[in-house]
Amino acid sequence: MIQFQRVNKVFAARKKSVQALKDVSFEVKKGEIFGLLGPNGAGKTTALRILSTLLVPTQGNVVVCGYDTQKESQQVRKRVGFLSSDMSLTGNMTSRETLRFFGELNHLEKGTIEHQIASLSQYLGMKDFLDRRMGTYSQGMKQKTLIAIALIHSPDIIVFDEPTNGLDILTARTVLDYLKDLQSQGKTIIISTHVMEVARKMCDRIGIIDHGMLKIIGTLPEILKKTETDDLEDAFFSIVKEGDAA
Amino acid sequence: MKDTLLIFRKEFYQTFKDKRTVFSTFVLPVILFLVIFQVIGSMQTQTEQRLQETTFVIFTNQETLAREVLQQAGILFQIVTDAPDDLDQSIRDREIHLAMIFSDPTKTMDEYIRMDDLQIEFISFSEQMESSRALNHVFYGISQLRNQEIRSIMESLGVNPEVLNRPYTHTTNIATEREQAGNFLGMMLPYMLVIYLFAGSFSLGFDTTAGEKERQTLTILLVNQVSRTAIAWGKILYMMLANLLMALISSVAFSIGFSRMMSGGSDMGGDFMAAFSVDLIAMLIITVLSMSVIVASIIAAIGIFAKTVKEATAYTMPLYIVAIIFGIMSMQPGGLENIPFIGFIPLMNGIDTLKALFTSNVIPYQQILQTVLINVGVAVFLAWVTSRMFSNEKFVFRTEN
Repeated sequence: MIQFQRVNKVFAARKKSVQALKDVSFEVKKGEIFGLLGPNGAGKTTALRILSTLLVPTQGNVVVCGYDTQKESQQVRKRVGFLSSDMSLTGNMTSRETLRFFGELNHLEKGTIEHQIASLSQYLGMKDFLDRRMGTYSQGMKQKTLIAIALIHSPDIIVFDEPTNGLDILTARTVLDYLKDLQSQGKTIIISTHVMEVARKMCDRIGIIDHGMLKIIGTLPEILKKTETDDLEDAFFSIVKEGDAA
Repeated sequence: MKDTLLIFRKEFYQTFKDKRTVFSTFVLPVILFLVIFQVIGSMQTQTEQRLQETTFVIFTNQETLAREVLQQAGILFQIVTDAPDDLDQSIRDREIHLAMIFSDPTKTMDEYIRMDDLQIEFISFSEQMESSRALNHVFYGISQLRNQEIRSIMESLGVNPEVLNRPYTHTTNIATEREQAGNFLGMMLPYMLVIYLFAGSFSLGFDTTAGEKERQTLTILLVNQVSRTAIAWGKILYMMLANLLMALISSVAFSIGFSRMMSGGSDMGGDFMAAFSVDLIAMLIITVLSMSVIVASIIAAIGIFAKTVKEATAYTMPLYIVAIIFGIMSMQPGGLENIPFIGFIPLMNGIDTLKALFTSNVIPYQQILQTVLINVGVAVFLAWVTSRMFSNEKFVFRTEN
């Protein structure tokens, strides 16, 4: 479903270039929840942004549902719903108006848009604020709206970068439950996180990324076995420390 | 095209839904123009009325001669002959408006006019309106006395004093009301429009480009099924029409406000509105639209290039200053005529065309066509550059790296 093929990403700056991804290769299968785990600045967001066509790899390819993210970006965007914790919503439009706008932008029929708004707002508990101006929203309300925007066109692949960042425990739980529910509907989900608990509970497979390199990939038992540790946190620290020492 | 219109519609809807933005961007300038000109007009009227009713206090060392002059001046006056301790200070303190010192108080006014070694010294305070006005009136009074004396000298010499009025002249001003009003509008409006086109872009244009980057709201658009070109054009279209609307509303408010001021705040247009005919308004809109397009495309390109609104504003400021200088130059008669190839300089050609539009007897269709073609051509190129920048992560994500 998703293939990262020897992906490199270099951010060229005037004085110093930064290599954000180094030869990253992995696959995500249909219907699984895949977690990218790593410290801040490890390259998680860069990888997900390349997947969602926001960034272009310096070398290598990313293929989504058979479409190349560089050459067939429109086809990829049709199939991917992307949410990042650094996205924001402001302004005077309501959630309903915003969702209608993104529905139209994704070329959905009016009836489909209204149906999607009704079902997403029902599931995410947005009914109380659906017709309020977004300028008055709490962080949780904004995050729910952003999730609804990412899902308005019923994408097959859902890419959430730090999906619970800045959320209170109740909203975070709603979001994670919803992701599980989406998986049960056959959706493929990729999340990035630095919260071990989220990765442990949610992900079928995990990839630990550090300094732009994918250090390890596998199911939780496979990672624990490879790192000879008892829990994910210990496994994570052993990999990250190894990277720092090198 | 559908996506472009969607982006445009959303931007416009968002702007017009915000009552504060609508008020500060579209309503406030209208109110300000109307109120400012009304206040200026009524202040001028009140000041003039006050000066006409003022009794000017004149200090002199020769009351009879001073009275003679002041009666000729035709003003209300009060003569003070007791010298104050500090005359200058008394004038500064407005106790005395003008001092009139005769070099020899024993002489007559006839002698003052005929003799070389006599003079009248005036002490006034130029920063005080009453003092300046008193001086002007007194000069007028003296010139009247001088004329009377010259006439009597001529009569005594057997010369007809009427020669002073010859040759008789008669002037006919063939400028129509439209031309007279148009000349003024041609002087003021291009300058005002340039200011408003940029002012609109600074607030609305940068908010929708650099502002969206800064607030991280642009990413949401970019991951959806809309081309970067459509986003760029949607935003440019929005800026263009918002600018046009703002510039036209401001121009109309300016014209009405000024017209009211000139006519003493008594009616809504009078002769001043004669400058506007239907074809002129149509050509005005077309010319301003082409200026609006070029400003919008410049602002869009700078807005997407800059990391923040602050940076974008800093980049635009030099261009804004140049445009204002051109605007000010257009206020001088022939001010733009010596600038080579002005007709080919985008935006500046609009200032020149607007001036010609108001001051020419005939509408300069050829000049308008050239201006529109050049401005739209350059704007299309800049829009293409902007859409390329929208497609380039180096510009779209410049805030982060």
